[in-house]
Amino acid sequence: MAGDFMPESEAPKAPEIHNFKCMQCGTTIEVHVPGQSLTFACGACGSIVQEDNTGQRILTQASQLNRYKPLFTLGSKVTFRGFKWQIIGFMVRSDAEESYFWREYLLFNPYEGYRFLMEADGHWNFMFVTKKQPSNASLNVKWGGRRYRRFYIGNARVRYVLGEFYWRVKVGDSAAVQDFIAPPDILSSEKDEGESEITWTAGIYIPADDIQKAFNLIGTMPQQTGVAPNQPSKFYAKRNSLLLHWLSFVILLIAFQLIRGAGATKKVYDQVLIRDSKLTTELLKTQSFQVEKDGRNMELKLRAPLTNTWLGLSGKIVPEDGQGQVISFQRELASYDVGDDDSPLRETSVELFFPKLPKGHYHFEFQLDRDPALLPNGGRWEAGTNTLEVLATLDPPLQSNLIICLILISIYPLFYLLRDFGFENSRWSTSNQMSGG
Amino acid sequence: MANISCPGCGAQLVLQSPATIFVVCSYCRSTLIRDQDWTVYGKMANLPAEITPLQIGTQGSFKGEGFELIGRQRLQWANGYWTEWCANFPKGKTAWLAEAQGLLMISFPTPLPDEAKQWGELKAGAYLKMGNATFMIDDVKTARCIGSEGELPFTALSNKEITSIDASNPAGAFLSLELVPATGERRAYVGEYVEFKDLHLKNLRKLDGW
Repeated sequence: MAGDFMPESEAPKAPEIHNFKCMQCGTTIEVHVPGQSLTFACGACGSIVQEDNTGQRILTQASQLNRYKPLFTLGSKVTFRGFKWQIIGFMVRSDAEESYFWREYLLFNPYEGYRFLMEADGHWNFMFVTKKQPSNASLNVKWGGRRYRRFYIGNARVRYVLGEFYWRVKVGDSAAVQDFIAPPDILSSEKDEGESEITWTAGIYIPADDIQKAFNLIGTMPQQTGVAPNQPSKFYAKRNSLLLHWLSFVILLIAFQLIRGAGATKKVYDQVLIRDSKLTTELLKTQSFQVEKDGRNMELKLRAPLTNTWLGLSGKIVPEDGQGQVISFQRELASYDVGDDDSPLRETSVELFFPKLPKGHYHFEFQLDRDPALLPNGGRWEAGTNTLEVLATLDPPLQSNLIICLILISIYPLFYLLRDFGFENSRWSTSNQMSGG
Repeated sequence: MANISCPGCGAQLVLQSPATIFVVCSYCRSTLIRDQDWTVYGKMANLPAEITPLQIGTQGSFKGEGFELIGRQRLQWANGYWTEWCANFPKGKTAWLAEAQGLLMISFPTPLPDEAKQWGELKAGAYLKMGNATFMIDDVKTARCIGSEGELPFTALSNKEITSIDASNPAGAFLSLELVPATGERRAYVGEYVEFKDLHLKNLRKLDGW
């Protein structure tokens, strides 16, 4: 039986200790993952020891200039996202210009393997190595059924290491990195200087609160600033449902207006009157029309085609049944290719609104005045078509009410979209890929 | 299953796989190679310490088929270590469960791809065809056996040198080729990365603190 090959496993042994003494300062360096860790950095003097390819431990860097403090005790264990993890390594990296620093913690579980916990500007990502390669590393990549957008291309340079790592690492090591985002997910590629192999890691944005709750911090939580590349937008999460609600309201509103308008709106007068353009003043009197019920609103649209001239309009609504008052109004229409402010002026139509007309018969009278200073052109004051279009409608749909309603129901969604836009702007402001929005 | 008596110490060893030609005696650590009979080829040193929940006798299943780990070889290359566990399936089928850098891979023997018949041509970035699938070579590395235990279908004496070629495709499948320069042996395996939980492993090694 298989048991014949494992007599050792029957008697439990004392835990093996794999620690060794730092070749530089003699302090004990703990080894948590023997047989896999290749780099060990002394917590006391900062020396870096690496295993060579025969398994010998060699002092590689005798000290480290800069020292940084991890937020968690190395070697401690934590339960996070369903598994127990031992925090075994801490690394500080920066871009090539040293303008941007971030921190990475290496987590180990003998059943699950390794994870990386990254912190930059107080924002956290939990990442794992994946061997599933994305479609192709250009501006957009597809991975695991999602589309990721390239956010950053740059270099990552090691500034400080502490603890143990399963690869060889020392201060100054540089890697070419690319970040792709599909918030809250992130996908990163890394290629060490002088190596051909590309390592892909995938991860997810972790709210700082989750870290605070799960981990034992030995320092203060770093202040969160800006928007992280893959930070999920709380605005975006609600955007689609909000737009859908808004659209439903708009459709309802328009449908309501259409139904109400179709039922009551009635054209009572629709004629094209002919003007006599040889005259400087002229009176036009229309045929009569009827308002069948009391208290109806009337909209009157007037339009006259004009070319480089004006037309004075003194109008009257004249009741014919002896009762009620004459309603007067005055307007001026004008059309000039070059207006007062050097731009064309086109005011050749006017809309008037008369509320609550008593029932009865009416007609319109229009007193037209032309520019007396204008010399008659071939005996005419105006060029072109000499018409006055008159259209009177009872109980027109109240466009202004509709517009007010639209504005009211759009305030909140608009505010929301602006917030969302602002969030995405802040996100992409730290990208060097210029593909924001 | 076959019973053999260790020529080194006389212990009774039960072999799980008919394909086994190499055994490390679990009592005296003699390395035995099957020729006409079983011959002692020396002693295997204790394997260097490592943290792994796998051990000989660990049982699991992959895609509904049960297996048991019956042997392993541990390898070292320029940038670290990996372990190849021999997984014995029913009817003499053998697979390999590899543990490297916290990742698990399972692979099955496959005929050599045509391109792999010319080893010298194989470099990182080159392509290998396996049926309809195309694999790109990720790396070509030299590794050394630093220890073995249990039973294996090939010899795995300490310091045996191999050339290991890893190729993968975007779907996450991988093809690995193994050449033993000293003997001219060439083997190809095709497989995939697996999650620990997906193998339904039991009879695992107990780990202190975990």
